[in-house]
Amino acid sequence: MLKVIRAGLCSSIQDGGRQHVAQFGVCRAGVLDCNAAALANCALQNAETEACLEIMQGAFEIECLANCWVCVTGQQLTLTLSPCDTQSNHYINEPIHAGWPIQLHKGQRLSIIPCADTGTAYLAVAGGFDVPVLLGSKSTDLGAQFGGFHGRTLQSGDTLALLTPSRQQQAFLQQRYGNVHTLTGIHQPPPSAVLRALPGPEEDTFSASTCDVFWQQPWQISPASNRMGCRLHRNTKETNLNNDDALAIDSDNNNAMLNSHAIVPGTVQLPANGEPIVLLADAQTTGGYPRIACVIQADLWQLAQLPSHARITFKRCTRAEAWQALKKQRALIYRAQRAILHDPAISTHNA
Amino acid sequence: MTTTPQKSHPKISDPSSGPLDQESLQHGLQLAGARIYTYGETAIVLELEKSNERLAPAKQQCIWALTHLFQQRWAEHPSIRDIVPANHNMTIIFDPLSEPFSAWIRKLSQCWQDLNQENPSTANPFTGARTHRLAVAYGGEYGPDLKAVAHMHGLDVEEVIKRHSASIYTVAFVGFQPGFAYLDGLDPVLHTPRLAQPRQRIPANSVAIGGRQTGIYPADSPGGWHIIGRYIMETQASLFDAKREQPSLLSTGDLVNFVWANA
Repeated sequence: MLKVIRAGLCSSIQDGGRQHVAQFGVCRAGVLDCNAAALANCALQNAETEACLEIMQGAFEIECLANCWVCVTGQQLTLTLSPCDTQSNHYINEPIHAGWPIQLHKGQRLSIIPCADTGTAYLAVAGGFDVPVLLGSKSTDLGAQFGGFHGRTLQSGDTLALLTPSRQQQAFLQQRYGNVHTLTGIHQPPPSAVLRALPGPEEDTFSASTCDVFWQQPWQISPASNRMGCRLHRNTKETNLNNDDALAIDSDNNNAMLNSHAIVPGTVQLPANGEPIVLLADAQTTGGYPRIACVIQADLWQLAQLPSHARITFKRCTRAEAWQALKKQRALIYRAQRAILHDPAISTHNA
Repeated sequence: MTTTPQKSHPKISDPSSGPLDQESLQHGLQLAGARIYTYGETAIVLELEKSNERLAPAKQQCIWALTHLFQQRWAEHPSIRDIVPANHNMTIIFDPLSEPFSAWIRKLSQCWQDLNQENPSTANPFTGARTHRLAVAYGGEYGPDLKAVAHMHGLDVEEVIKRHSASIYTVAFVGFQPGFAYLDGLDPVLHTPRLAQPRQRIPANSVAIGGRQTGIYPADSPGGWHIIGRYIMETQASLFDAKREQPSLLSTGDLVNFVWANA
C-alpha cells in the first residue's frame, strides 16, 4: 500500500485508456505520455499498459506502507527517498534516479521535487494498482468521475492498494535490481518542440494565409491546458498585424455550420478566436470545430513533457512519415523490454 | 490551397476490385451518396453528401445502419479501437500499424455499397433500436427556463410541455459527455436558439432544448441549452453508469418518448 502525503495538482491513475466506448460518449482517457508509462511498466516487468500514477504538476510525495517495487519515469525529474525508520537500506544519501526500479521499504517516503522544466511523471508499481476495471480500463475519467481511484484526482491522505506481483516477477526484480544502485536509469528521449502533424480534414476551409500562420508561427503552451486539451496562444513578439488579420476566420466559410464528428486525440481545432487547441486523451468524443491539423500519434507524448510555457511549432508531414514514427516509437519500447530482460549491462544503454 | 476532393478525384465505383493507390487516398474516396476521408493516421470518416442540413432523420438512419453493419463485421477486429457515429458521419479509429490504411477504406466502402444494394430506406436494416419512456418533472425548480421558452414562442407553459412530451424522438448519436444523447424530432415550434451565455453548471438529469434538438444531461456540466425539466432518476435507470454492461441508457437509433410526470 502507498499513502499519498502530497498529491500534486493533478495526479490520477491512468492506463492505456478505453476502447469501444466512444459511441456512448465516453472519452479515451489513459496516460498522456504512453512512452514514459510503458518504460516504467516494462522496467518492473508489468504489462506495458498497466495502470500508473500520472503526476502532472506540483510536489508529490508518497509513503510506503508495505514493501514494494516502484519505478518513476518522466522528464527532468528530481527524486528523493527519505530514510526508513525501522530498517536499514541502501538508499540513504544516495541519489535516486528516474527510470530505474527502486524497492521501497515500509516507512520510506518517495518525493518528486518539481522544477520549471519538469514534465509529467509516471509512477508504476510492480503488480499494478488495485483499482476496479471499468469499461475495460483502470483509467480515471476525470470529467465523468468514474474509474481509477474513486473517479477523481488523488488527495493527500489517500491510501492506494496494490496488487501483489507474481513470485516470478518478484524474484526477477530482486535479482535484476536488488544489488545495483548506481545506474542512471533507462534512457528516455527528450521531447522535441517540433510536433509533426498531418493536415486536418477541414484545413482547406481556412484561408491560405491562416494556414501559413498556423504552420510557420511558434505557439506558446497556455497554463490553461489540461488533460482535455493543450491550449496554445500566439507569441506576441512574433506576431505582426498581418498575421492577426489572417487568423480571423473568413466570414464566408461555413465552418460554424460544421456537423459534429468524432474526435481523435491529437486533433488540432482552430476556433474563431484563432488560438489552436490540441485535443488530448480526455477530449469529448464528438465536436464540431474545424480541424486544421492532426498531431501524429508518435509525437503526442511530447505535449505531456514539454515545460509549461514552452514554445512549439507544427511541422507538416505525410501519413507514411507518421506511420514510420509510430513504428519507431513501438520499437523503442520493445528494445527497452529486451534490454531489461537480457542485457546484463543495461547501464551502457543510458544516454 | 488544395481543391475539394469531390472535384479532384474521379468516382471509383468498385474499390474492392483494384488497388487504391496511396496518393488518391490522401484526400479520400468518393462513393455514391457519400465520401470517405482520412482523419490523421489513425482514423477514416464516411460522411454523407450535403450533410449541412442538420440531423435530417432519413439521412441519420443511413449512419445507424452503416454503424450497425460495420460493427457486426469488424468490431471484434484487434486493430479496431472505436466506431463512432455522429451527425451524418461515422468515424472508425484503428491502430494503423497492423493493417494498411487502404484496407480500412476498402472495408468501409464495401459496407456502404452492401447497404446501398439492400436499400436502407426500405429494408429497415437497423434493428437494434429500443424504445424508452422517460418520466420527466417539467417546470418549477426543475425547469428554470420553461417559462422563458414558452414566452419566446408565444405559448403557455402547458402547451410547451404537451408538445415536448408528444413527440417520439430518435437518438441521433451519443456524444459531448458520457450518455448524452442528441435527440432528433423536436416539434419545430419549440426550436430555440442556444443561450448566448452558457451556464457554468447545469444539474445532472436536466432535460433541455438547444436549437433543433433536445436532450438530457447525465451529469452536472456547463451548457448552453434551455432547461425545461428534470428526468426523475429516483424511480428510473440512471442515464449513464460505467458499471453497467451497456453504460449509456440511450444508444444511437433508440426511440425516446417523454412522459409528463408532474402534471
